Amino acid sequence: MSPLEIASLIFIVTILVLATGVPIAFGLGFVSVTFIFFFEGLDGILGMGEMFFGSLSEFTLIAIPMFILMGTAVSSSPTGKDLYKALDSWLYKVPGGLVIANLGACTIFSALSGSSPATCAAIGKMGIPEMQKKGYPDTIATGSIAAGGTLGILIPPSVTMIVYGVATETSIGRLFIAGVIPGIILSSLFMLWSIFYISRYNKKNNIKTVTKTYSLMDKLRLLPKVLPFMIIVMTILYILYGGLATPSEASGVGALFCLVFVVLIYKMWDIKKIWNILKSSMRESTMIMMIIGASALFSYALSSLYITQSMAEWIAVLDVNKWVLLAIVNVFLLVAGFFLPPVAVILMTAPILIPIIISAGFDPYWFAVILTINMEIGLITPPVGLNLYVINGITPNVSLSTILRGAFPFVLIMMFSIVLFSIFPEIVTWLPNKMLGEVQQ
Amino acid sequence: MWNGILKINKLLSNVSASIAIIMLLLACIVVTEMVYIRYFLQGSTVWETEFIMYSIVASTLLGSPYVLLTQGHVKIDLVPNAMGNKKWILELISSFMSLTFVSVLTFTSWEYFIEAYTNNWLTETVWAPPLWIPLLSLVIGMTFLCIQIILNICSLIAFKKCVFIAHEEGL
Repeated sequence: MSPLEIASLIFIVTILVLATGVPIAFGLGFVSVTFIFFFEGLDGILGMGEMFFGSLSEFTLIAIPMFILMGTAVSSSPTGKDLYKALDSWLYKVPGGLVIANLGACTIFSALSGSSPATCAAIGKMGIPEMQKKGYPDTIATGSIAAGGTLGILIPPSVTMIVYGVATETSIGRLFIAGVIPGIILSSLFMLWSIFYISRYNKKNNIKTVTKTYSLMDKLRLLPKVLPFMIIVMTILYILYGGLATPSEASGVGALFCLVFVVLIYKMWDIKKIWNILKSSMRESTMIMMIIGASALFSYALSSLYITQSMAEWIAVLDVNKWVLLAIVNVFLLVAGFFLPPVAVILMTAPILIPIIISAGFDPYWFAVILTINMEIGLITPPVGLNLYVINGITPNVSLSTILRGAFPFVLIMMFSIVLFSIFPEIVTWLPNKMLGEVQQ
Repeated sequence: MWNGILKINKLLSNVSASIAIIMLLLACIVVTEMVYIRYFLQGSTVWETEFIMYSIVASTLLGSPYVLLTQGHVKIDLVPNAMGNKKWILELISSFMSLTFVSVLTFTSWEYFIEAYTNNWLTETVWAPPLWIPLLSLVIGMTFLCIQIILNICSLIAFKKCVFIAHEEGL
């Protein structure tokens, strides 16, 4: 069998295996073990234990459980609620201020939590009912939070970016910085659309939104609760930009401080609650780390069967226009993102896609942003759109189809941003180049 | 008898997960200590990097049986959910696939561990602790995982239902 035939076979088998509902980590491991055994015999699988252990023993990976711990600590406290209230009290005079407060809270919270579903849950629980109360249509109330939540994987520190950095051996600090401007642009586009939609809706239905007023005391009262967490994020970003410490070190310190702040600010003295934060973090990080370990075996299988190399050569021989290639890669990622969580998509496809992307002359850091936005789209589109189900869970009075309708314009905005960043890649690469210098290819 | 076995399995997963949680917290504390020594006291660190790395590996491997037990490993369940009463058949198939992978991992891990122990291998750093110590988490975690998948297969064949429990019923 030629490597390309084996590649097609692996592709089909992987899809069939994962469709059975096997945990993704074990499914990937099963495919790797089977193919290596089939093509290389027993000798091929003898080093599996050592390889699996070796793939997890990487200092860079520490950032994953640490940022997860930081996110879980923040998500399980009322920080999201306070952040939202604080922003609302400052922005209530702006037209569509509530939706801006929500999206702004999503943007900041996603930086803290690094997780999209957690952002949706934390901000949505308070934000959606508030927007409904003030007469905002259900579509925009739920859609904006679903979309705002997806920023969690783009805005630093993001677990998805760390996984990309590990899979492609690119600098995690640089990836983080690359996500900043696209994150702000996307967030602003979401806000613009929401304001446009709401003002049109209000005009059409002759609705005047009632807003409560806040005194200066109200505005200042929430700041002490919110500021410490914002300072943590700023400090982490400052440390990474300045190259003062590695992302792994920054993540560990950030996690411990967030945990301590949550306990002190919200007086969470109950050991059980702290234990639960640690337990949830362990659960999530184990899940991701097991996929990382298994996908290391998967990419070993791909490269020892010459698939990675042959695919890149095959694409080079095809000599397609690089933008056509990018469009195909985008569609592929989009479809993969419909079914698989971002981490799994990145780990499974990176070994094959990255050499292709680099040889076509694209910047791997720019591609990380494009890939992440694709994954964001997957989070708010069925069938696996995690954010949709989170929103559905916290607002049982709104049907899933309404949430879907609300989220759809945001999907279009994200697609538009992919096109925008493709035409003007400098939007993504400018900040990292400015702060860390150009990458030597 | 069967319920007793399940209880022991749950107990083992819980103990293993508790150690995993403690390792995670320890790693977090040691990172902070390391940063303090390195950047504030300008001192050098010897054991910290490796300790943190192996703590996280141990946390992952020891936590894995618990994560499987409480159904925390992410999966695509569109097809199984559409199967209705026949869902257990797919669960059985997927359990056999998981077992294939995990048993290979368990067997090769034990081999690696025994080799490291008998040859007294050390890790390749200044600190250089014996390699079998961090490898202990690999063999324990994978063995528990293997046992749990076998129990699940038995339960699926005998009762057509999984042994896994909801997240809230865990620790």
